[in-house]
Amino acid sequence: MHRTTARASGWYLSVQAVGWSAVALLQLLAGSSLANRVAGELTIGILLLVLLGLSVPLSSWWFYRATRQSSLPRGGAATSPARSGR
Amino acid sequence: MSTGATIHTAAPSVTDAAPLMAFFLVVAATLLLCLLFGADSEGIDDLYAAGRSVRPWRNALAMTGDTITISLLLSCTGLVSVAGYDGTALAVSTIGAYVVLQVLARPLRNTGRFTIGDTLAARFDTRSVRTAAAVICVVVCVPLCVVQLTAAGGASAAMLGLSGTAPAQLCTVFIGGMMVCAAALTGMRGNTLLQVVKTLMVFVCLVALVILLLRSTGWSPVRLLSDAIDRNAGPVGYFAPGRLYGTDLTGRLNLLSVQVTVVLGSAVVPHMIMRVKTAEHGGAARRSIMLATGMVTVFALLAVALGLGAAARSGAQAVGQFDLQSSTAILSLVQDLVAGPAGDLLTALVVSAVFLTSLTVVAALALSAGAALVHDIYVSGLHRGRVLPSTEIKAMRWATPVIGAIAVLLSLLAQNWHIQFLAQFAVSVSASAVLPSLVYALFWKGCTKTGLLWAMYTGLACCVVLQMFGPMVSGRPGALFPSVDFAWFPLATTGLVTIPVGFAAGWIASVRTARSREPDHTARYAAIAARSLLDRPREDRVL
Repeated sequence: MHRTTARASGWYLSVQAVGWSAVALLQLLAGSSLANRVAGELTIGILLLVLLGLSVPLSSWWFYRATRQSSLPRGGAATSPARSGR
Repeated sequence: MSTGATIHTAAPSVTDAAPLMAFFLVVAATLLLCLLFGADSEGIDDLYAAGRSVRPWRNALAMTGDTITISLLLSCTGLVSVAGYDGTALAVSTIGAYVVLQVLARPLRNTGRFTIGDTLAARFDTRSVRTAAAVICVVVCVPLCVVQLTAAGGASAAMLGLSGTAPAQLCTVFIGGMMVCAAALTGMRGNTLLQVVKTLMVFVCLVALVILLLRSTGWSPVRLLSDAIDRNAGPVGYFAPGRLYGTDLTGRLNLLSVQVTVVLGSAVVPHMIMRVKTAEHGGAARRSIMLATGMVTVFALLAVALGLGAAARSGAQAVGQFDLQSSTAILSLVQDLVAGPAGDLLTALVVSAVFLTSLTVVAALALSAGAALVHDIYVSGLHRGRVLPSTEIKAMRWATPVIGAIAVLLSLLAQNWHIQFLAQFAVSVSASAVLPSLVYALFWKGCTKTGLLWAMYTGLACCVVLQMFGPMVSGRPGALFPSVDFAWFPLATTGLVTIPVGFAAGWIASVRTARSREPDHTARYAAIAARSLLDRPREDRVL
């Protein structure tokens, strides 16, 4: 994979994974004393979901911008796989 | 996005003529578009991939249309109003599907011509790989078609003010027949246009409804939220997880499983992958997905707002009295919010949007299944690609109606059965069999042909077995066979187990067969890796 795309994909997927894991954890812990102390009736959970919902389009935009120039020149493979970071 | 919770009683009926007239107006317009674009589809590129010339904005609208299935459109609002947090979490998960697709888009578009089998064959061009891809494609598409047709038949009949099984079956046959026309005559080019029209119509309906809803609350979203909470107090708080599946560990894992499956599976259903391949090049595909992500986010926010509105105005219990799956919550909200000619007009718009939604999604699914059978099995498998394009087009013209007819027949048989779980099953198969195979074929140098086959077949088999012995098939009132109990698997959606199993099977088989790799293994990976980055725009006709 192109180095820019690989790096951007790594960041993009990591951010999403952390966000979704946080929501999953809060869901699993809901009702426990720890979750109650942190989030009450999971209002923070709703807030997290909203943020997550908005983070997907925003991070998609960032990912698109970050990898916009990462394709090989149109019409021919000018860069060898080895040089492009594979 | 359907769940296990099903409540059946009478739906609200509409007796005015406006919805019926709008329904037939949309039918006439759709038929006209089918005929116009039927004449325009000439080559196999046109038939399968709309000439690979769909611009990003149109492609994004069409992708959004592919995502908004009838189950999502109708049950999303109902689920948010009945299940509060759980419904909202599922609506947000739909947006999450685009996280995966954003990363896969460019390689998917740039490698392989039309189908999943084509993409996998770019790495391992064997009959067994193409057959496996086609089998999985059909296993995903046919159940989804059946669920869509059944839901569409029931919902259309209810919205037209008809009750009972016979009108629902009649609507199913009618929509099925239209779908066959749309898929067989227009191909992907016509389907793209129909999806664009449908997405715009759905957005117009939802935006109008949300504006009316906010006007009724004095333009205060906070009041909407607090009304929803106040009217729906219960043992489980409205914004706490557990209203849908329960608060015990199984219930929580169930919710998590549905979310994981929706996020990872919805992205790689066969008709979405075919849609990605209609973009001009890989960069355009990625741009389309970025735009579609925004559109689906707006759709989810609108659906959540309407769900909260239904909960605030009628209360979750009142909404839940209607059928939660083919939910008429949107229609009851229309009738609640606006009366008179404006209400009739809005109702007519909603009915038309529902009809067009079912038609376009089912046509896209039939097209994908037909492409898998004809292109992967008949052309590439049986005849090694030595088939004239005209013969392939002729075969497609036969295959799509046959698949459509089978789906309609199964929908008629399943009209009064609880088959909504088939949608979850299909998405689980996508997530457990298609996703691992695509990720390994496109991004992992060490993947072998055996590993790919193991990932696909193990994921599929695991989904079938666990679903069969799960709570949606037997052992509880809303199950397929409620009177018998052979369920031992506790989760309604199998993804939480089957996705890791699919990935693990592919990895283990690849590692164990590493010594028997083909001589050109490394070269083929290098070629697919380079090709996935090479954006070659097609500069002929533009849709």
